[in-house]
Amino acid sequence: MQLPSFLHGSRSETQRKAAAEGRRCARQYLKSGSFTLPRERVELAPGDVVSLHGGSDFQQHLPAWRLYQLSDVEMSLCEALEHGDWRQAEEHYEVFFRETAWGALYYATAEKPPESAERTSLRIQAVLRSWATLETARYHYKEPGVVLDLSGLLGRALDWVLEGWCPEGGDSVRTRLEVAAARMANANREDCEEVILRCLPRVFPFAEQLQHPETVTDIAFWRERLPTLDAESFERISAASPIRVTQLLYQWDRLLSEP
Amino acid sequence: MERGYKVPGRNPDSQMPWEFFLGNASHRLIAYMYKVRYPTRRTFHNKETLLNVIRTERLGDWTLLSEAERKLRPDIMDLTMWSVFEIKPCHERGLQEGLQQVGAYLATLNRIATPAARFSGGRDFQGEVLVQFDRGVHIWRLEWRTTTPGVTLYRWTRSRERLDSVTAAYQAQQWLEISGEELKQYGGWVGQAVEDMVERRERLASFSGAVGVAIDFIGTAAVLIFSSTSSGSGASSPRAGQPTQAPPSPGGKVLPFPSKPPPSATPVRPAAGGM
Repeated sequence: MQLPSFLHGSRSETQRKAAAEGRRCARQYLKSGSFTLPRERVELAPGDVVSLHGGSDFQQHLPAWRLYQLSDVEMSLCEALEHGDWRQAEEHYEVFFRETAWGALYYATAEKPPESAERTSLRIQAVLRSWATLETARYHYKEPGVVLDLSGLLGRALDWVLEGWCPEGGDSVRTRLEVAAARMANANREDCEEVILRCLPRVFPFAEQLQHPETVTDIAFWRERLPTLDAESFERISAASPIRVTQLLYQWDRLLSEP
Repeated sequence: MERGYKVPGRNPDSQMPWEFFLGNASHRLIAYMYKVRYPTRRTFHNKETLLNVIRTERLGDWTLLSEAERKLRPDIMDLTMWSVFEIKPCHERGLQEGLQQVGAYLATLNRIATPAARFSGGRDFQGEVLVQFDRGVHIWRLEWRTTTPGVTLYRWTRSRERLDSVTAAYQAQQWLEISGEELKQYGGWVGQAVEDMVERRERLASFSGAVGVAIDFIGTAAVLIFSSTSSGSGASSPRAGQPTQAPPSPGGKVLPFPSKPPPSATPVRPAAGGM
């Protein structure tokens, strides 16, 4: 597998190079309304491991492949286009780079809003298209020192997708993701609501400091409230990510206290 | 100006005053404990600028931030509870500075963020950590409280007497202010011990995923024990108040405190040697 060279180095080096790449992309976008692939790409050496999570990157002084630092490219791109349509540029950036193997993997694992069913499906489908390429590499995720193959990585990073959208199991992570992505792509709002309702028993045990616990940890309350969400609010949670569902739970808890 | 603690991770020639070194460690630990305490919340700590959090989480129009606001880094941002915390040492100046900073964060966030996201000063975050070092001679305690919304104040104290175990120290509940001389002598050690502990806990927490971090609680206080034994060339074990000239470097293990131990519970014996 090939990765852009700006993703290799110590953390401070990759931060600096990623910011420069963001400015390059911004110039390109202003010029042509699109992007081009970074020129310098490097083939991963045998034994190279690609890091996908900054929180577990403890040896920041050592050179490594730091794919998670695509977020610095995005930040730099947006800042460079601050006075233009940075929102559209950021969207185009994802669409363009999701077609590369490394971009697909970043967007599938970065927990980046909007985590809607539709968007999550597109991200997973992009990974599935690049499966053979991505399978040749090894990865670090949230467990420092633990090297994962592609199935191990996605089984860990997308466990909530597998449990929510393919609860019946399957032969492999890949086949379960295929099923989950297809279901997400075809899901209407009612389908998404059912998946959210199914994930609630896993979310409720961690809801603390609630002012109205009896109400907001009652599935009947959720069944009644979910259909009342506006489209934008529903989009944020339609994939049933536990983090986003928990946010909504606390939001409703606060609203119940307001006059 | 104090200088030159020979502790791992700190440049021996560092001009950084010990207060700053220990303060950094305190911040890192307290912010980390927040993530441990509330694992399913969306939280950020001060490695992230307010600018980056607002953009990535789509909280509002980050382009409206001034240059100064873009550099703000709240110690803790909880995007599930819509709250912010600033961590400060427990004295009047710390409280006032904290209030000022939290006020700036809230003014900025509530100007920029969408109406659904109304931020306020964080509440109900308190805890303590015991740090044991130098062959168990010293047991220091870091405690923090959030009595004013958004400002978490911390202070270090030490056990009044030399005790055999952290359990005994915890149960004795006799904590004394640490003298300036002791802070100068041991602050660097403790700072490094805390840094090491946070890193170890980060690893453990990561292994446990988003939930199920193996940290115990007594009442409302989260308690961890860091056990650090001296190492190296037969360094002596100084008595509290009688510091040696060359503190040995720390090393050690993280040991979880038993949850709600019965009065007759056998004290936890830290596994590290020399205890």
